[in-house]
Amino acid sequence: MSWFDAVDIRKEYPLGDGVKVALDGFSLSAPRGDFVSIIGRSGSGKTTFLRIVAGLLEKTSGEIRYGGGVPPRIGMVFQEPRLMPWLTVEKNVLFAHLSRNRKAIPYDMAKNLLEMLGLSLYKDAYPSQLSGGMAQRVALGRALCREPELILMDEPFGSLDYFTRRSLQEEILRLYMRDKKTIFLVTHDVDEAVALSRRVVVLDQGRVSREIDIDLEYPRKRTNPAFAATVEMILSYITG
Amino acid sequence: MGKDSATGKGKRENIASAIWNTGVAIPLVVLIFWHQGSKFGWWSAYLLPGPAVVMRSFFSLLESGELSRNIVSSIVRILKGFSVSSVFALAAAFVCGIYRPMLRQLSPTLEFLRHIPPMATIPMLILWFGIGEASKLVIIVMATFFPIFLNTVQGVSQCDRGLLEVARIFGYTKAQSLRLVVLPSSLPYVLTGMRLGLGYSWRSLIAAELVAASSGLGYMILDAEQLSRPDVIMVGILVIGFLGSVMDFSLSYATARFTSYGRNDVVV
Ligand SMILES: Nc1ncnc2c1ncn2[C@@H]1O[C@H](COP(=O)(O)OP(=O)(O)OP(=O)(O)O)[C@@H](O)[C@H]1O
Ligand SMILES: [Mg+2]
Repeated sequence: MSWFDAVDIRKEYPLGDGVKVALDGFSLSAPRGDFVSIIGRSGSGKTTFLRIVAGLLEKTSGEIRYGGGVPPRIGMVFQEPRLMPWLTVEKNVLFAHLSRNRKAIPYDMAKNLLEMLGLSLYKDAYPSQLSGGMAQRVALGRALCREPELILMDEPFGSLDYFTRRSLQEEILRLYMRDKKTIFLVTHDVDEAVALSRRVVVLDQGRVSREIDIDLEYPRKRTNPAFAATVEMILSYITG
Repeated sequence: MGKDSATGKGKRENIASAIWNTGVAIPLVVLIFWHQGSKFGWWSAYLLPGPAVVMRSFFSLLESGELSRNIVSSIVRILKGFSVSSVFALAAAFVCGIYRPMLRQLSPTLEFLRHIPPMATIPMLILWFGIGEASKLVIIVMATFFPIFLNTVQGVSQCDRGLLEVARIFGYTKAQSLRLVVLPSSLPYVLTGMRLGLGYSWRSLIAAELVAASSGLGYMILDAEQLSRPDVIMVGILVIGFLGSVMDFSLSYATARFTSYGRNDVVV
């Protein structure tokens, strides 16, 4: 039994008169501190899996078990920033704590996170005043401010331009190296998956078709021939 | 300070552009026409007294305290009716916005009531409550309930599901999501509803006071009609329009102020 175990998950969506099977015998285990990228064609069930883990969706059958017994605290970053438009950047980062006692709000932690993400100047700005990349940084800060044990990311950089994406990837990697939190990252970008994660899981029609360990040293150089070879290999698994 | 402003020509241009930019050009033209027409007798002074006469009665009504008394009594009614109505409309709207079956139950009834102009019920209201405060309160509540209720329901139902999911992942309870996500996200709608409601209630109240009241701006006009004082009627009409605009402006200013969230392209 590992820190995280998804065992034989099945998810059916009602669709018209019948059902659409989105996950079918999906299993995945991860030790604490693992960084797993989940990759696969559109419609293969990646989002469905993350939403089940996050508790936003009921599974039809199967089991999710945690080695520690209790479910961990989860932080999630979606493809869209999903910031509260009426809250300032600082309050958005603190969102996880706003439902609690005023005195318990960790302003210090927010300050540190904003500094780390290069957003200190925008502390009092509103989401409407941010660029897409900055908004996504805030969303990341918000997830981290909950001090999550498990971070779920669903194509968090999907809508960003190449440069912003690269700098956020470096940010994530730095965080991962520092805190060693467990991360599940859904992405369409094989390059990104190989650059960041310890393991790449290829999803095909609702089940895991391949698991690839990436044994390259961090930080990984994209110019390294082994890097390019790994990317090519994974691409060939996806395209079949 | 522009260099031009020292010269007479620059000054005149500044005034002209100020008139143009603030939109007072039309009122100004009307005022001049009104003044000239009265001065040269284009119509009988009894049909429409000139602005100078109206101004004089404005000040004498102000001095005697009659005007302020009537203004206060109309405004107090609005404040009372508006608060009562807001409380009911907001509570009902949040319940309906969250618990859809309730809205389904209520909507035929509400749809029916919505089409009844508050004034149409005045004879019944006088029958039941006399011409006292209660009948005016009911009129105001009827006029304000629907805009506030309907806008708030819309505000609650448009609340972004994505944001609610964020709250859920972060362990918010239903009540906390309601207070910290649904409520603020529907605030612009609530304020719009209130602004519409305030406009409706002002107009219906004045109408009600014209029929059944012993104080208020509507009553002042009615009284002036019986005393054949068109100048006082004109004072009443102008004050009603002015106060209505002031109330509307304050609410739309508040709406822009509290719901712009950093967007500076908000038009008041
Ligand atoms: N609410 C729903 N109702 C019916 N079918 C759904 C629903 N949500 C997802 N599906 C179906 O389930 C399958 C898996 O969807 P999912 O969103 O998990 O895919 P994905 O791998 O995240 O795709 P993408 O890469 O495009 O985001 C798809 O075939 C999709 O059409
Ligand atoms: Mg998806």
